[in-house]
Amino acid sequence: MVSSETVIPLLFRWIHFVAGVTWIGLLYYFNLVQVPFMKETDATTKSGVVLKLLPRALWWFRWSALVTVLAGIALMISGGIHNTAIMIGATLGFIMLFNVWVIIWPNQKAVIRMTGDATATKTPPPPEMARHARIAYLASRTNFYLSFPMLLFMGMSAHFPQF
Amino acid sequence: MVIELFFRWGHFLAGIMWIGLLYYFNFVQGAFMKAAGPEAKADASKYLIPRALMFFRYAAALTWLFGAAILGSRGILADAFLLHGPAAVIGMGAWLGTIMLFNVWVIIWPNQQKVLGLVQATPEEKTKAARMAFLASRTNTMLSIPMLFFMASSSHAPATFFGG
Repeated sequence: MVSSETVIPLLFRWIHFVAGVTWIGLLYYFNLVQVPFMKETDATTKSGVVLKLLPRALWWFRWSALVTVLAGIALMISGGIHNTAIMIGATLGFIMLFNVWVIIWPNQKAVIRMTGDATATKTPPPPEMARHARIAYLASRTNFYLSFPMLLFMGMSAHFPQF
Repeated sequence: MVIELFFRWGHFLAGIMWIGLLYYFNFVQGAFMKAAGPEAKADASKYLIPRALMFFRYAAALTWLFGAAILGSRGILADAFLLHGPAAVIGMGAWLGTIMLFNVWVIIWPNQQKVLGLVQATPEEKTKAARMAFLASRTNTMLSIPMLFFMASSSHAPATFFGG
């Protein structure tokens, strides 16, 4: 039977899935594909990736992260979901969202700006760029590792809520 | 069953990697390849795209296997693919996922091998292969939206929701 009690949580879960796949999928892309690529390519290609690929990838990344968490909260409220597993999963998700918006994005923005300035003026980037890149990298790696328990608890919440 | 939880976890991890990389190809990489200079493009074709495709195609295979394992451990694998009773909901998702897996291994990957020069091809064959791979990739992007709908509804919305 179609009723608002079934349709509304389903719509939020669908949005949560699509946005979550985009967010964590791009996180895996950054960690498993782009980081190794940046190590084996030269400076010109690297700055090309930073200026032409990274801004678009980070746009999808940070907005899908926000939509994932908002849809997740809406799903919990509309579906009346409160169990130990989802509380742990949601806490991990919040930490990851914090890392995206408060650590990864501001530092990556600085890297993109400094790379752009260095390319435009044909000068080497300032030394603090390496520090910004390092902080963003560490937060991204942290999120990569947090995603594994986070997804375990997400899977548990709907199917093994009281473990 | 605890084993089902591990299949589901694997299904989540592999599925996110697969469809996340599909979205990366369609929403990020395509635009980058148009904007990039010839040197960056050549580097991307040599190092970046092959690595992304490696994770992409094996994640696709693992996603399907873990999904089949979940259905098998529940004893509804046949019912799902035959669209019988309440298993028809996940069956729709399973069929969409199967079509997408076929596209990855039978259309996208062989054609990309020609585009990337991993398999010998004439320039005309390369142009055709690039077009084929692009269309299959776009198709999978479209299919992923209803596929995820059925994945989200399968174990949560009651079967009566779909009139089953």
